[in-house]
Amino acid sequence: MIANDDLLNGLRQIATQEASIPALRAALLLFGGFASFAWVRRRPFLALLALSMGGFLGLGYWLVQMAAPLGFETDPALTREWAQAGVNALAEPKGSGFVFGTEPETSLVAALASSGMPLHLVVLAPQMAALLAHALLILLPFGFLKSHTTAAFAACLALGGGIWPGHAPYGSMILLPSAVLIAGALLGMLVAPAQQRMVRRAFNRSRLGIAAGLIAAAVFERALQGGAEPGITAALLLSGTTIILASPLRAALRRVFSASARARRAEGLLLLCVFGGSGLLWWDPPASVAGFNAARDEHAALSRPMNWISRNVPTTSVVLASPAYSAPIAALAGRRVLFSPGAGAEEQASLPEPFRRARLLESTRLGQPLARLAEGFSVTHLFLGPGEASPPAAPEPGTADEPRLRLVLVYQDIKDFRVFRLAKK
Amino acid sequence: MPHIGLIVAEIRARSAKRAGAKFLPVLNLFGFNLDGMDVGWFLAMARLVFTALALLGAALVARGADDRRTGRIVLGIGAVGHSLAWFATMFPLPNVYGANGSMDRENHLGWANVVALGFSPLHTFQVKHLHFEPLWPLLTALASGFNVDRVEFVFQWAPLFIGLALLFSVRFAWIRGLDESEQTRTEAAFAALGALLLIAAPGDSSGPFRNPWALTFLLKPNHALGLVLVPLAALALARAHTWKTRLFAGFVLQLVGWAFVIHMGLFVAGLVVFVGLSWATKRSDRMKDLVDVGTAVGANLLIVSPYLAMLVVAYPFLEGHDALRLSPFSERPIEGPLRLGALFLLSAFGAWDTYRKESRLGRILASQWLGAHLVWQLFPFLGLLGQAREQDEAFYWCRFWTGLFAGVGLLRAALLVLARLRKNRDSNAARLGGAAAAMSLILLLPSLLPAWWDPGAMDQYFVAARKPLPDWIAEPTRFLRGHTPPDAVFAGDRNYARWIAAYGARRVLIASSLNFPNDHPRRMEIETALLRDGPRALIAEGRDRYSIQFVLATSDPMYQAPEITLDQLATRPYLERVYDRQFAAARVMIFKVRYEGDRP
Repeated sequence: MIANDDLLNGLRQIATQEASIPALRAALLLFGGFASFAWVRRRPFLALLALSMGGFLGLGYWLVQMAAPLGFETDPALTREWAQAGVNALAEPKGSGFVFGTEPETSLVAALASSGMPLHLVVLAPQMAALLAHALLILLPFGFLKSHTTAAFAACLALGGGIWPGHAPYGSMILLPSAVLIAGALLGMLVAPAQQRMVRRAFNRSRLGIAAGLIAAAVFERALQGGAEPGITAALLLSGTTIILASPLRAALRRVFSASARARRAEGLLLLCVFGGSGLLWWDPPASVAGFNAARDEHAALSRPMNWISRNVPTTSVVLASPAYSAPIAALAGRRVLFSPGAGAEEQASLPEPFRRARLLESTRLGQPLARLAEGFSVTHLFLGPGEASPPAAPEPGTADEPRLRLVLVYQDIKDFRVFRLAKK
Repeated sequence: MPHIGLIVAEIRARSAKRAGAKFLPVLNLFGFNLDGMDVGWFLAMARLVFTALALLGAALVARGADDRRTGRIVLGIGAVGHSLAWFATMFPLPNVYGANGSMDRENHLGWANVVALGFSPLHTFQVKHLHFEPLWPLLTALASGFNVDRVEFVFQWAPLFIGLALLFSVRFAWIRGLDESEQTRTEAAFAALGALLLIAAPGDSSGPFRNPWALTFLLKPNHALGLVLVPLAALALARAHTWKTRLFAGFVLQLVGWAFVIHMGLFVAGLVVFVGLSWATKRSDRMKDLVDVGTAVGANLLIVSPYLAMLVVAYPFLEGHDALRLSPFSERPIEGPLRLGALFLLSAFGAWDTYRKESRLGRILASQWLGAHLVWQLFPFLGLLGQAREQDEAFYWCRFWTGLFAGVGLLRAALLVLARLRKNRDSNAARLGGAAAAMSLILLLPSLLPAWWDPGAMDQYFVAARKPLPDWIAEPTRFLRGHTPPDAVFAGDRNYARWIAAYGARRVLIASSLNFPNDHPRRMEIETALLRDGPRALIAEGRDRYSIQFVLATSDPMYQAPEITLDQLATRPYLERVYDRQFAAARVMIFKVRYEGDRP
């Protein structure tokens, strides 16, 4: 395990150096050139193998750089998903929201965590989705196209990113990993009917119309969504259209170039251009995928107190912390929190019993947590980050009618992260 | 830490703001209020409208429109697409596009401002500094009616008109210069559509040269003007057969040079390729090609020679520089051709097929495609010498020709395939052309810029220009416009100088955003004297030679005099404080220079 971590860290260090990007692109171009050559030499599966390997290399280069959950702390919706996944994996009781007293968030990563998958594997869901999407693009044409050579041609085009430059699905796939499952399931359902002769004939008759419809739908979807990367639907529709058009494209090249050798050369050149232009060769997720840069950061400073909480705070406990730390505590330490990650007052006010939550916080801030409220919310610890004032060491005596707890410092590190236990007086 | 009192107070404060608070409305340059505008929705609507119109156009041409009608529809899609993309980008901006983020754009605004004030178009806003691109400020000033307050509106509208002019220029040249065929007008329209809207791909925003459409048409419409003139220069050359017409071709070519000299250089490189190909293929008219090109280029150089001399005098452009070096392992060589993927292959086919058809204009244009890609391949070698300058312009030039021929290539490929498929069936040319045009439109649609253009996510200049100018720039420059004479020249903070010109419409002694004038040592001596209480003779020379009337400085240390503070400047006996304001980010002071003999 340690050896694997060292290897992974070593790869990350290499990949995060700017100078390695031209080397990656040169390697991918070599794969493209080799595949093109293999295609011209009538080795379609060798060509597909070369492009598949190139594709996995291109994807792997970027995916290995992701050390933290993608979108965590950069996208509010994804942040909540990761927070819920952390709590689902490590906290008790199961089936409750990561903010005490709220409903659980539903997402693929939360479901994976609930199913018992270890959290360190759950955080790899975006990477796994991108790799699965890549595999899907390689295998899919073989399920739909009769000729294996045409299927290989279609797969080569699709995994390069498709005929249209800048519409590859990888960016949107890592942001929405569940899409690969939905797309896989939908396409899986279509494979069986596609084998029937009647369906095949009907499809062939209206192939160009279907392709035109898919292009229009994809363009409308992208127009609606916007963004630097295409939405998942647009990207998958255009990948599908690429596969649908592969057969007429080969037929057209054979019509135009009377000699099959010339047609093959044209096909080889097309593969090289598509692979060299459409997707992975120029893919630059730090610039085009929101949150990618943040995901390169391991949150090293925060990981120490989070590990401590994960090891020392009971799984049924709720941690009292400012909203800024709610998501890290839930996602990285796997403990529920009292406040929502959003800093907005409306968001906190929309939680159940906002005044009681605020009162507990206020009494804790003054060094005298109200025992009744702490017990009611299952709060056992207070977490403070750098710059947040510690409660007074000798709090003023409170009113006698309300039983109070005291705060015991149980963790403090060089970055001034602190954890207090709420203990009986 | 959320405190219940704070939570309640914040909610109340927000409610109170909504109910009664009054804000100054933020207006765009069209005069519309931008408050509360949902920019994401607005941009999506522009894309959706274009997509719907393009599909409607495809449906119309698929019904068997003739060549003329198909050409008009395709050209209309191009015009509407460019207009929508321009409108979507410009409408949400309270400033000129490029303001707040692009030094280049602010320089241009400054140049145009000072020409609109009546100063020579041969000079930049650095007083008496010879200009790099004099035509554009002159045209802008003319369009504004020499009214400096209208210059920003000209800047706002120019990208729209230049883009539309490009469409019509490409179409005009194609129709007039290429041999008449059954699809000439449709081809011309696809060439124009491609040159304008296939110039960029969605992934460009993360590349080193960003989006060529935005950076050429929106940010630098003066460069795009060069692109408008290029097809006309090619047409003039294609028609040249007498000395008079050759000289005319040279005249049109030199217009390209005055618009943007780099485009002239690149176009001449393409003409060299044209002649080279003529000789390499042993054409019977190769001598004519050589004489025509030689005469036109010679005449062009003769006419444009004063400008070239100005360049040599005013700019140290032959000095190598480390920033202009490229690694021999750089991916630049493949970046030009391959970033457009299959569109590059289509453009290669289009260029080859156009060359093969023997029309002279076709051969010139196809040679430009080849020339552009050959020039691009020279950059790694230039990079070794530290001379890989203006890479972005060479890249956009490559994209221009690739886009132009990608449109043509796809149409011709579609025609070829459909003709072969229908060999034994209906061969009605109009229906064939209509079907090919519809097929090409649909296949090109995902790559046409207005269908995917999202400046909010893809364009840093759009994002920057959405924000208001910082108050410490906006207010002092407003003061300059209203309270200083139009012929005032400013010394002082060199970084602030471009804002003095761009937003204050006044000239400066030295600006860090421009190249140094060749007399910069003397300017620096005078500047030093002004800032450090130097010899009066030097200060007086500042008045006599450069007309310096004001000094502007901020609380940020000046590059050339970091130790001089605003308070020290205020004690200089010859500087009279006329403006002093402390902003959150900086303090800005403006001094009037009192020369000996001035009236108090």
